[in-house]
Amino acid sequence: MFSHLRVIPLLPLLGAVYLILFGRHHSRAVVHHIACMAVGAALVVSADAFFFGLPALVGEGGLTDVVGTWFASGDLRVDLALRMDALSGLMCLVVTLVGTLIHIYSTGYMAHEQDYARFFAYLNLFCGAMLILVLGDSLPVMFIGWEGVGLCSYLLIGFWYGETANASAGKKAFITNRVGDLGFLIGMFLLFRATGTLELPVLVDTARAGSPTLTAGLWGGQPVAFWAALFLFLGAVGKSAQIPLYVWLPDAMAGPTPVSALIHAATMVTAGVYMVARLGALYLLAPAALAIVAGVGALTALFAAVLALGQNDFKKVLAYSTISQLGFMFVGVGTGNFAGGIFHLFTHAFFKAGLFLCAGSVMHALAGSGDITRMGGLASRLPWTTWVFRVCWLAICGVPLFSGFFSKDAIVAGAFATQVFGPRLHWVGPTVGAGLLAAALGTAFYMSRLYYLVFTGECRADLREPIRESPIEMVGPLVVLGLGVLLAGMLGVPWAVGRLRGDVIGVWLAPAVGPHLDVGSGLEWRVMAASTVIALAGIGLAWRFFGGGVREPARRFVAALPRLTAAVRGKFFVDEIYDELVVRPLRGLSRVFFVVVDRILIDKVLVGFWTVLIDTAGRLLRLVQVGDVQRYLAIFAIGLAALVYVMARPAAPSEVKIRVQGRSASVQLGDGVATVDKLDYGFDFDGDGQEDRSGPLTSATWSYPRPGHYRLQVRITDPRWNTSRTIERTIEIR
Amino acid sequence: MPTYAYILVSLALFFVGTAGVFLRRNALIVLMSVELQLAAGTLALLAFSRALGDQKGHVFAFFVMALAAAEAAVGLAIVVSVFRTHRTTSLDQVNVLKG
Repeated sequence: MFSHLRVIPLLPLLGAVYLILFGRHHSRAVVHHIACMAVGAALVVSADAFFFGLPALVGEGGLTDVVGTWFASGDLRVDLALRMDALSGLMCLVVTLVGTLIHIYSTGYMAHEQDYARFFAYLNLFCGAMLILVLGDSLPVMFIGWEGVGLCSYLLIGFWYGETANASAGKKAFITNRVGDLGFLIGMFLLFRATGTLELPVLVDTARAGSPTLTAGLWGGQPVAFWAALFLFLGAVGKSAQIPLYVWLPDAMAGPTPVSALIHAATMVTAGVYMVARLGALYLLAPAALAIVAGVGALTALFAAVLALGQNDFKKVLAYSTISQLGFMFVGVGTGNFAGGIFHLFTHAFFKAGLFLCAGSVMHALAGSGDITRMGGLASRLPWTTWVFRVCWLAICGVPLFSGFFSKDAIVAGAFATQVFGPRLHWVGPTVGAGLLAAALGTAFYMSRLYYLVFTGECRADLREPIRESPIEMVGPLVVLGLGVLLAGMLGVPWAVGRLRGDVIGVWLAPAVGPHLDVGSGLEWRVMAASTVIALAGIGLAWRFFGGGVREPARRFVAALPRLTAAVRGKFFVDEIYDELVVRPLRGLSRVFFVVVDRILIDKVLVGFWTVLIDTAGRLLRLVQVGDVQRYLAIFAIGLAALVYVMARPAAPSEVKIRVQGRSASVQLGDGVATVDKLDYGFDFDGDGQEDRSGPLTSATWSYPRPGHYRLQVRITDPRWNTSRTIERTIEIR
Repeated sequence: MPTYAYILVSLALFFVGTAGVFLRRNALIVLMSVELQLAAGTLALLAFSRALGDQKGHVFAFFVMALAAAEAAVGLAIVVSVFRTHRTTSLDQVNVLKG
C-alpha cells in the first residue's frame, strides 16, 4: 500500500522554501527547473498513488498517511493526517497536472520579469498549500491549506506590488476571504461541539447515519447540521467568489496571468465546491442549507454572466466567467448532485486554465495589453493560441461533444431531477435549473463576444512590432490543455447516452460522495437538446452583434438602452455599494478609534500622564540639586541623624498576643524582637499611667478587679540608649 | 581630670569644625575645619582609651593622624585643581553640578 502521501504536498513546499531562501543566487534556468520539477514530481507521485495505490482501496476510504499528532487538547485531538480517496485523488491529480502545465507556461510568460525566483517560490508554495487543502483528512488540516492558498493568492495578486492598485487588489482578496474564513471556523466549532470530532470520514459517517447529534435543533428551529453547513458555506462563498463575496475575484486579475489561470480559475477558487462535496452528507441532512447553496450558486451564475457582457478587459471577462461557472458548480453540489458539481469542476479546470493561458498568450503578443476593443483579427497571427481558444470556447459554451457540454448538462439535468429538497422546497430544483439555462445563454453570448472581438475581423491594435506567436514553452502547455478539454468530457458521458460505462467519473466518485443521481433518460435528452439550442443561439446572437468587430445591432442596442448598458458596464455598482455600506462606515469607525483611543487615550492620557508625572518629579528634584557641596553635606548630616534615631529605637516585637481568661489578661510578646541582648519592658494594664509589671520580661499577666474596657500599654525600652517604643491595645473584660 | 571634661572639649572642637564645614565658603577653611573634626575624634578616642585602660585607642589615634595627612594632601590637590579651572576657591561659585 502506498502510504507516503505526505510526499505529494512536501515536494512543492520544499521547492518553495528552497527558492525563497536561495532562489536569488541562481540563474533563471535553475530556478524554473527546480520549481517545475517539484510540481512535476508531485504529479508523478500522485498519479502513481491514484492509478496504482488507490483503486484497490477506494471502497475502504482510500489511502491514508498519518504524519503525527498535530495537537491534542481536552477531547480534541487533531492528527496531521492526509487521505486520498476517490474525490481528493481526482482533485490532487487536477491540481498537480494543471499546476505543472502552468509552471511550464510561466517559464515563457515570466521570462522577462523581475523577481523570477520569488514568483516560482510562491507558485510552488501555492501548489503545496492546495495539496494540503485537498488531501487533509480533518477540517483543521484542510484549514491549513485553506489559509495557505489564501496567502499565496494574496502574495501573487500583489506580485507587481510597485503599483498601488495591484497591492490593494491583493488586500481586497485577502480581507474578503477573511469574512468567509470566519464562517468556516464557526462551522468547524459547531461541528466539534455537536460531534466531538473534526475528522472528515468520521463526520461524514456520522452524517450518513443521520445521528441525532447533528439533527438536534440548534437555533431558530433549524438543526445543528443546517447551521454548520451554512457557516461552512460562508467560507466556501468567500473562497469561491460567490454572491455576496465575489468582488475580490475580478480585481485579482491584477496578478500575472498564469496565476489567474492556476489560482483564480482552475484550483483555489474551486476549493469551496470541493469542501461542500466533501461534506455532502452533512448538507444532505439540511435541505434548507442545500437550497441556499443552490440558490446562491444559480444567482451568482446568472449575475456574473450578465456582468461579463459589459467588460472590455480580456481577463476581467474570464474572471466573471469563472464566478459564473463556480455558480454552476455550487448548483451541482447544492442539488445533491455532487458528482455533477465535481465533474464540472474537473472540466472547468481544463478549459478555464486554457482560456486564461490563451489570454496570457494574446497579451504576451500584444505587449501586455488586455483591452479587447484594441484587439481583433488575431486568428491568423496566433494560430496555435487561436485553435486552443476555439476548443475551450466551444467547451465553455456547451457545444455538444466538448467537455463543458457534458458537465454543464449533468448539473442542469440534476437540478431538474433532484429529490433532495423534500416536498416543501421542491420548487428550488426546477427554479435553479431554469436560472442555469439562462446563465448558459449568457455564457455562450459573452464568450462568443470575446472570441469575435479578439480573433476575428480587422486588427485594431496599433503596435509597431509584428505580432508573433508565443514561444514553445507557452504553446506546449496550451496544446496539452486543449487536448484535455477535448477528452475530459468523455469521462462523464450522460447515462442516457453511455449508461454506466459512459459515466466514468460518477461511478468513480460514488464511494466518496454518494451514488449517482438518477435523472431519467427522457429529461436528459430534453436538457441536452435545450442546452444545445441555447449554446448555438448564444453564439449566433453574438455573431450578429460582434462578428468581425462591434456591429450595427450592438450599437443600436447600446443606444436603445443606455442606462442598462451603463449599469452593466459599471458592474451594477456593487463595489460602490459595498464601499458605501461597509468600507466607509468601517473607515469612519476606525477614524473614531484612531482619534479617541490612539490619539487621546494612548498618546495623551496613557503616554502623556507618565511624561507629565516624570517631568514634574524631575523639576521638583532639580530644586534639590543646587550644586552647593555644603548644602549636600547638611542634608547628609540630617539624614544621618534621622538614621541614628531610627536605628537606636528598639524594634517592634514580631507579634503581640493578648489572651483574656475570665478577669485575667496575659500579654505575650513575640520572640526575636530585641536588637540587643536585654530590653526592658513595662506593662501598664489598666491605662492609669503606672507600670503594673516591669523588667526584662516579655510576658506578663494581670487580674482586673471589675469588668470594663481597658487601655493596655507596653513600653519597650533600650537601656543603653534610653530610647523607647510604646505599643497600645484596647481590651474588654467581661 | 575626669573623662567627661575631655569629651566636652572634644565635643566643642567637633561642633566648631562642623560649623566651619557647613558655613565657611572658602575651600581651604573648610578643609581646615575638617581637620578640626578629625582632631575632635582623635581626642575622644584618646579620652576613652585612657578611661578604659585600653591601648587600642592610642593606636587608632595614630591611624587617624595618618588618615588626616592623606586627606589633607588629596583635599589640597583638589582645591588646587579647582582653582585652576575656576580661578576661585569659593565653594559658592563651584556649582557646575547644579540641576
